[in-house]
Amino acid sequence: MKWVESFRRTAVASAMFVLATSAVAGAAAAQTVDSIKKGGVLKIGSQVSQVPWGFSDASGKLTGFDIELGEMLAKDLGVKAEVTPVTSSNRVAALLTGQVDVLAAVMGIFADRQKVVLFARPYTTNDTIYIGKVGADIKGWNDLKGVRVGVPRGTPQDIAITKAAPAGATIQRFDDDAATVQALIAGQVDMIGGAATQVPNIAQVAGPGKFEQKFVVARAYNAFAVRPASREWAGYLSDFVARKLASGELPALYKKWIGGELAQMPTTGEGEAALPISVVQ
Amino acid sequence: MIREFGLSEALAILSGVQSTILLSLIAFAGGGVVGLAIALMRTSERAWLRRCAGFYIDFFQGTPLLMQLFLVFYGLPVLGYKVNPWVAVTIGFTLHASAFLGEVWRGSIQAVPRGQSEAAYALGLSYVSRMRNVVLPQAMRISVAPTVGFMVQLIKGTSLAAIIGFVELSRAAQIIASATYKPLLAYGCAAIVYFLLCFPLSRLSMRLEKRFAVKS
Amino acid sequence: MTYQFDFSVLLPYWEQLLRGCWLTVLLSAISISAGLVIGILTALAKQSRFAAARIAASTYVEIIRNTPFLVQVFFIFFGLPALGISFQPWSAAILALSLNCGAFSAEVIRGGIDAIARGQYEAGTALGLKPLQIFRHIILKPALRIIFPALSGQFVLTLLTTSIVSSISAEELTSIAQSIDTMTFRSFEIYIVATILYLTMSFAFATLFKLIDRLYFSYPVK
Repeated sequence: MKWVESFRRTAVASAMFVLATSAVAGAAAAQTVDSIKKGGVLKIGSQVSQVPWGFSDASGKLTGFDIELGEMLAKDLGVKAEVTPVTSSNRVAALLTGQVDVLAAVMGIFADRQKVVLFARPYTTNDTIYIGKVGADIKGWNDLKGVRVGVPRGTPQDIAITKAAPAGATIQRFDDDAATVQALIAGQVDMIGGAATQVPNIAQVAGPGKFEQKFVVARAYNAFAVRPASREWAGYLSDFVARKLASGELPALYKKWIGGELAQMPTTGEGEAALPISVVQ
Repeated sequence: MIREFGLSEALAILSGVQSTILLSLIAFAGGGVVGLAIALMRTSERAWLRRCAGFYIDFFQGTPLLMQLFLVFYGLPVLGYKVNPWVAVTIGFTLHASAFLGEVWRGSIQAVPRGQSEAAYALGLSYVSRMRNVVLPQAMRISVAPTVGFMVQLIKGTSLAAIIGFVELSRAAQIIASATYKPLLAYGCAAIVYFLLCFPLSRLSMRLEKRFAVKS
Repeated sequence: MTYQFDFSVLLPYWEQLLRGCWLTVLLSAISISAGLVIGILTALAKQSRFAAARIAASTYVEIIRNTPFLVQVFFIFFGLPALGISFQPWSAAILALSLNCGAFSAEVIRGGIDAIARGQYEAGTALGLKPLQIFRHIILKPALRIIFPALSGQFVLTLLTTSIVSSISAEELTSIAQSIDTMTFRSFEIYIVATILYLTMSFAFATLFKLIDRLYFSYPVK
């Protein structure tokens, strides 16, 4: 019986594969400021398909809030910035395995994320909102019965609706913002979780007066994230944010990409103080 | 801030084709070398060699390429090996392509009548010379068509390198999709480029298949 | 810091993972069945007397074979609504997978039909069989017998391809694994487990096809 043998052979080898990978605990070592300066390169993980945080401009060059902030940081360290594209679903893996030194990847501070990475003090606010058709009578979670809601997987919008889990709502998860927005415009979902910055962009593509902000869920604080043991490196980043806030460069960056004034933020990325403020229950 | 979808966007997508071609060539080269070894092991006279190669093929043909790339790219650093993305994709695609090519070539080697290798053995030829001068040249002729056919799969498969951060054709399309909110148009452009790359190869594969069928 | 493997965090999710496997198997089974029918019809169309049928069949096969599956599934889910045709994620996934599987199967089946000597057909006509009977008994079955191993390989590939439909929010093993990943951040553990689950499923499928091959396609020994 060839197939019995081949199945057994595979099962045994799979088990060995798991054991081997489990037994060897590898090294994605703690990061120090010195080692980065010595290497001469800062590897930054950023999202590259998130207007206005990180995206490519008309000439194909990467730009956006997180990208410029990363360049500012590299300049501060006196090293070269090297952007590694990450997505909201693979960024933590990229950081923990040492593919990047730091994440500036539209990453809001959440309690479960605090358990796996170390956040520096927040550098911007990010309001989570839900966007739907003009005229639909939706003001909060309770109005979502029978509504198809699209969210980008693993984002605050996803976390919020998964936690609130309104009865009768269908949650559809997509890989990124672009696909989520496209699902809304194509009529494949009735509502999407997104950010206030998306509303004018959607109007530009779908035509004005079709989609609007339905309700704000929360204000999250985005911050640099580093590997848990890299306390000294996180300290440097917090100090960097404090200096750039004081110098006015960070508020200027916010005005340029997001618009308006940068609101007050907690002065630490750790503990409950840094968690999002809930706006709608 | 959202861009219109215009000529420069289409060109930006087109520029991803370089990486796609390079990735395909790397995958084919790596997969070819290791695949030949796998095919020889699979047709070896030693049972344990056959079994090892069999497991190798079963494992990589039985799991999604997406998972394989993910495990190589994020798994190797965890095991203590620092790798740059090019090394990671080279390893990932080599493993994947060698399993498929190994299986295709095993079939081709076994399609060469057994008498050939027996006759060579009777003439006192060594294993290496038997393979190099008698079996492999004939097997190669049989395998050309399916090998070119697999190239098509491989070119399309390189699109998965996007998930580990490579800006190739698919990723370029995705970046444009998110800057214009027009995924369909962006992916449509990418599809046309893939088609232009793959269609001639598919045709070639079919023609070779026919030519061989007539000869045999 | 070293990465500490911890598979125990996944334990609370075993029911979800099992459901993911079930959804993947279901999705594959439906798409493979539909794909086989589409494949047979397309292979027939390729041999048709009517040029229009031949051209339509070739165009369909070439487009599907030479473009990535991701683009195909995006086209169906995001593109067709512009023409007023809208599908739920799961229906879109099944449609895309069936069309994909159908095109690849058609090529394999056509190869099998070509391999059946023309004499078979003439012998059938001489015996007074109707064209449909000829096709069913002395063309399709021997052809399927020749190509079944290649066809089952194609079916297992369809099973593996289902992992891509998570991109249009269709629920199956990969999308469930990704969701668990975003809740636990245990990427390696979850992807190792998912890989093993896929491996198990593709073996189950391969085994099933071998059984079918043995029961249905083996020549009577008597």
